[in-house]
Amino acid sequence: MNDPLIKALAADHLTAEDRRALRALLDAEPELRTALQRWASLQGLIHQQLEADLPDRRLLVLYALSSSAQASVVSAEERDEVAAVRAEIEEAVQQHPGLRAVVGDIQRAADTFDAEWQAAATRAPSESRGTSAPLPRAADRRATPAPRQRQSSWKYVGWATAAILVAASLFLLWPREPVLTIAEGVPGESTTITLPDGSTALLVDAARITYRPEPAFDRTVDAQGAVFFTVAPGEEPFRVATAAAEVRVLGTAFGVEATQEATEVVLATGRVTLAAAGQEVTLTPGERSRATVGAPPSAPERVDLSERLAWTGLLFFRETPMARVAERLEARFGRMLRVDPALAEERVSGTFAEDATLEEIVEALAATLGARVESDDQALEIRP
Amino acid sequence: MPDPAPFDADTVLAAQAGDAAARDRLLAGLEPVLRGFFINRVGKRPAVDDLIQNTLLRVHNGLSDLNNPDRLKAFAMKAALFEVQDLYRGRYGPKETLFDPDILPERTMDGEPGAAVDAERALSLLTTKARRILELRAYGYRYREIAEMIDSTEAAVKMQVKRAFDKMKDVLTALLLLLLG
Repeated sequence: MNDPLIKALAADHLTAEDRRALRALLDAEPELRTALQRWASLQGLIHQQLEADLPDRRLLVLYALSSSAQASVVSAEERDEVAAVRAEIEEAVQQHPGLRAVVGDIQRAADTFDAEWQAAATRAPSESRGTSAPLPRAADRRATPAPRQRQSSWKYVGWATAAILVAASLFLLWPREPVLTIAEGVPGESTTITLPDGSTALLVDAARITYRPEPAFDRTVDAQGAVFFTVAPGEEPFRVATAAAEVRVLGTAFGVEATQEATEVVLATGRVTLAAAGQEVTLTPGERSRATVGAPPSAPERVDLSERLAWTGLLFFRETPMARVAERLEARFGRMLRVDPALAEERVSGTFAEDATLEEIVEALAATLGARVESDDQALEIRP
Repeated sequence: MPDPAPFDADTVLAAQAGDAAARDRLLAGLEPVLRGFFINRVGKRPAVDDLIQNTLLRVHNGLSDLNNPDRLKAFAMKAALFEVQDLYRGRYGPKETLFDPDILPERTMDGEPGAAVDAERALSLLTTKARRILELRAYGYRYREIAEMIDSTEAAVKMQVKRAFDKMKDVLTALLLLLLG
């Protein structure tokens, strides 16, 4: 199996030596290079066809189970779901020999699970069955609710100031050792969680994030609900996984609204990649994309950050003319803000905390523009 | 009569009611089941720990929606099967990079006139066996796993891929020459 062509066609990884051998082969045979390029494209086409003909793998699992020895695990509601798409699934299975094999594999996997379940039930009946029996080992390993209340200052993205001090309910899920931390927001409030790498997550309402605590934190966070992340720069990509998609970033600020069915990402600063169903899109600041379960993310579209991220309580400006900024601030604070005509078309970008005062914001804006602030009883004014 | 379980229905009910100790007992009882299952499916890999955690999280999140505590096994089984599917889906993208980009710059047929039709024609040249292997690979299985599924060896599976490529090589090259001409 030392043929470099086989390795190129069917290896999970190529070593440096493999690459050298392949490069030499392709240099000697330019037509082979062309054929390999075409081959890779064909594989992409096969993947696309599978995704198009079978957009929801969950339904394939339920379909496979419903006609297996484990059919009883499929609930009545799920049987109805399968019945509604049975014709499409059967057509896809008919057209794709690979899917036929997958159905069989799922059925074997279900049998494997069943065998493991039976073995566990037989193996340790006295350890964990029965609520009246003493459970010393389980009790010893009991997850201790972590009474940590993290305080975090919500710093600006760009030049905003001020802070939000909030509490989070944190507890550990894993019974054996603290390998998973869950932070849940408080209904009706915003809660800021500082992650081990210094990144922050603003949980709105009852949003929830899950991650590994220090020292195992791997910059990967599961998110559910509406969360605004400000990611600290780092060598490792920061990942946010939701039910429908995955977001990868290096250092940025963005909002995620995740349900079991869909994930929407709105980017405030930096750069993120949203991946779902084997495809991905890259967002630039001021753009939004949405992914539903089993479908690729939508093409990025420009949005009004303040409007789209209003749920964060934060105030966003992205390359916004000062005249427009003044209008928004007037509407938010109910106080007149005048901008000298010489500065009206100057564009500014930034994000302010929800409890930042008008004076703090205007001072920051003026500092950015190299301007000064004057005030009287009726208004604030920014002058060159 | 429900299946024997690593814990009883009262434990499930208590966990649903918010009893932390019962929840811990439940998850601790599930962990060896999941570990055995995932090792059977993907081997002893670091990914097994992630798969277990993700499945436990699914169970934890869905516990309150469980109407019948005897259905926990069904719920956990489906959670584990969905998790495996997610693993497969995440392994390879639609434009899988088989080669180092500096060796073989990516080139797709997108945008080339008639490319889709020609690609379909090329795919029709594949045997059912070869197409099954390529589809399973695109679905997210590794060659070792494909070999187990079709009762073959990894080397034999890779040789099948090589034969399919050899068969199509001239066609693929001709297609490009035709399109460029």
